[in-house]
Amino acid sequence: MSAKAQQAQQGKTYQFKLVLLGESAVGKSSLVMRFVKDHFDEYRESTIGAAFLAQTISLDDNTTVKFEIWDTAGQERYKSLAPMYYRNANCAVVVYDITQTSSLDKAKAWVNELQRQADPNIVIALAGNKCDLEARRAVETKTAQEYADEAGLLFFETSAKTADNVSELFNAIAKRMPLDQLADSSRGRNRAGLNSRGGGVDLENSGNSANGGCAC
Amino acid sequence: MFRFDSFKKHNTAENNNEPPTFLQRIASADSILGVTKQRSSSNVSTTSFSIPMPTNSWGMLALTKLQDEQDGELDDIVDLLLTRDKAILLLPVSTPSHPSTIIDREFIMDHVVVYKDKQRDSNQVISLSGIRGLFQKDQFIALGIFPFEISSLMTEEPKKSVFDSFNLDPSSITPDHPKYNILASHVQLPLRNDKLITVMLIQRPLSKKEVSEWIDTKAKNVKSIDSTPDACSSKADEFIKKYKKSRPKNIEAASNKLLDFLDDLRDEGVENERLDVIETYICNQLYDELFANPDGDEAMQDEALESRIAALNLLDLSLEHLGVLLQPDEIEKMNDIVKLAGSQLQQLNTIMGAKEKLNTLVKTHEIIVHAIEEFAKRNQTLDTDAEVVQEMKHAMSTVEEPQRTELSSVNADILLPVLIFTIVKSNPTNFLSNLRFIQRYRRSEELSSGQASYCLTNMMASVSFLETTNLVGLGLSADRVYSHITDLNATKLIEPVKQQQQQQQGGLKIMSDVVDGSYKVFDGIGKFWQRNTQELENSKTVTGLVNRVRKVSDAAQPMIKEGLSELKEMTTTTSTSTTTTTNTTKPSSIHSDSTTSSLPSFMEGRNNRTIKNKTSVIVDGPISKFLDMKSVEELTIGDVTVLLADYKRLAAIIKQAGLA
Repeated sequence: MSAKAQQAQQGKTYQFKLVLLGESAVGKSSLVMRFVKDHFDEYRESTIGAAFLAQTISLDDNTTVKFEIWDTAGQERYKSLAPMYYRNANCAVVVYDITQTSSLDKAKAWVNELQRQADPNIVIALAGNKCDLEARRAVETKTAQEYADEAGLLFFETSAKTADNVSELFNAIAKRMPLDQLADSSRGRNRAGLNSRGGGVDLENSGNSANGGCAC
Repeated sequence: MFRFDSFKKHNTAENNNEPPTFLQRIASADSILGVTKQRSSSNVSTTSFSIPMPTNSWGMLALTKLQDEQDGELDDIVDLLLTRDKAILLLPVSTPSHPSTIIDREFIMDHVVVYKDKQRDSNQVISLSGIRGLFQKDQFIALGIFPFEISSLMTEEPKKSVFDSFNLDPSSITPDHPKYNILASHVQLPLRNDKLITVMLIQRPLSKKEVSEWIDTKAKNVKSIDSTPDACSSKADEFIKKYKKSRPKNIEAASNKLLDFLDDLRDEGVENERLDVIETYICNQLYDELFANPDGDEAMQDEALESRIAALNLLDLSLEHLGVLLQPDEIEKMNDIVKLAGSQLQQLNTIMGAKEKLNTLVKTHEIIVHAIEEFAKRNQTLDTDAEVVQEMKHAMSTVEEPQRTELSSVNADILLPVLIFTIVKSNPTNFLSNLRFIQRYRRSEELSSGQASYCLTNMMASVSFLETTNLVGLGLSADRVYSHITDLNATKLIEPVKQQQQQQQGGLKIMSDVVDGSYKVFDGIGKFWQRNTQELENSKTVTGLVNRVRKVSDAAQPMIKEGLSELKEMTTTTSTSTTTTTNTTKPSSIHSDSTTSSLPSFMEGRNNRTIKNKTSVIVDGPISKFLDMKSVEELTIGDVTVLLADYKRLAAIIKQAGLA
């Protein structure tokens, strides 16, 4: 766990690594951009666009949570690289597009993979984005909600365009984080595994990218 | 959707730092022959030999400029070249990225070097523009820049003192000096009025700017920690001393040793900034020990990656293959971005601190992100409804539908492909070792979170992608490989070498380049095929052959390389006529085995398969005589011809196998 607890003047700040997963068309980064732009402070911490963003939110008077948001490339051919990104992640937002049924299937595949391979304590949220496009809805709220309940995920239907449920999503994640546990384990050296590259994993996964084919 | 097909066209003009240029060089091997013949009158027959220098190369452009300049601007330089035999003209064979590049006086001043003394028994030279350097082992190594204007070089002998300041012992030349490969020396070319001058062919242009940038980075690196001496600096020096006395067993232990030391300092309450300075200081002081062993496994992995990238370049990998669609007019802009970002990556080897190396990766990201954001902004203001803009936005986000929120920014969907493309186009040396250096020696708390850590992950992911991806998955066609191989067959690799021994050297050098280059490419392509077997028909046969070709090139490459240096030493004037006596034993039939067993991982099954293949393919393998050779000593001059012929034959077999 890479979470850090820092003793600030008015309380504690917890830092979490959040990884963004989902197909490339679903508006992953728009969602985060909306979240970050609506909270003006600390926006400029990133110099590399929406690929990496940091955002702090206050849970209560004594607790601040800082999300470090790692974007991943959503194209199928880069799927095998995802483990390098969700390694040491404390939470994940898996995004799909409510107008595309197939994007929910992809999201489910991500959730499966995270539950199988990521940190066992990872908090996963499912976000059905583009809920402003009600007329073109292809995935019913009920369907997704049932799946999320079954898989133990946080679930929101969001709109990056209208900002619907965006703050709520990130607030819910922050609340779900096991803050007390993290406070104790905050100052461990996180060196294990740094020297080993993800090469072994990638070799196993190379078959995936072969079967995935090229979309263009 | 827009096509990306103008890229190929573009590529021919933009090959100055791409490894596979050897093909283009071969393809244009006749060009200088034609030009020199045309320019020189019939009685100057010595000039008619072949150097693979395209007419649009920097060198030819510079030579033409010197030959044709009418307004007297370059007369003094021409005089110098004609009258003083200690002056030598260096001609780069690479081609400028823009066809309309203007060769100015400055460029020529960079490329005229003067020897230290008349007899040329010193290898030290200085360019008219003040670049100091020396010739060593087929390379020009830049040592520095003379700080003052030296107009006197034009008219009089350079004072000894000019050279005294860099009379250095060769061991002080570190691997990071800017180096320029020499392809041929002592080449005689007509300058004006049929008067011959001696020129040297170098791979890429010499540039004062490059040398001064290198000096700047070096100066930054050597930054001493003694500016504010404290308990830490003496501890650091002590650490270095101890480290040198008892070296860690392996590189992992080295990493732990340094990180433990820094952690201890941190626990004593040393501030982060100070820790960074100490980290950089120790990295600099112990760089050669901390960086991966040049003979170790990691260096081999570096090479393997470089050869895979060389193969991708040969196959014209484009952003489209990586999932980014651009319009033709955007491609050029994108190429500029990629080039700029790539130049950052190429500096990695000259930067010694782990933190500074990591910063270079961040800077690479920033260049790409800012350029694309600017690009998008400009397009947005032009006309939001124009199809162009929609397409660009489309490329920016790879969103399937044209409507987009106004909250657009550069995200991972575009950033990662462009990063991968940047790595492919710049093919930085020892890239993987540099990434590992950062992982090993950057303080761990700086790597566990933050933007820099994300950037490092992106780079590792890109490398992993390049190491594991396959041709079919990217939509690259193996047909292109075959057509290149056909080109190789069609082109005479070496023109008949004339009596002069110098020329022979030139020719052999070219051949060694060819072998080097194709070795790399075969190696790279072979690796692609290893992962492609399930998808290719007759895959077993193809892979088996490729494996064998690789074996041959593996074996032949060092032999030929070393053999050539031996040949150079021999003062024999035997003409190695390479009229290819190819005993074209064409593959009579290729028996395709239909009982294809689908192996989960080809890597594991590879050895078994290769053995199987030997029974199923009825073609002659590589000449076993060469495979059995233990050292270069066993190789004779005549063998070079045979090797080349067999090499071509094997190339033809691959082609056949692929078409079958």
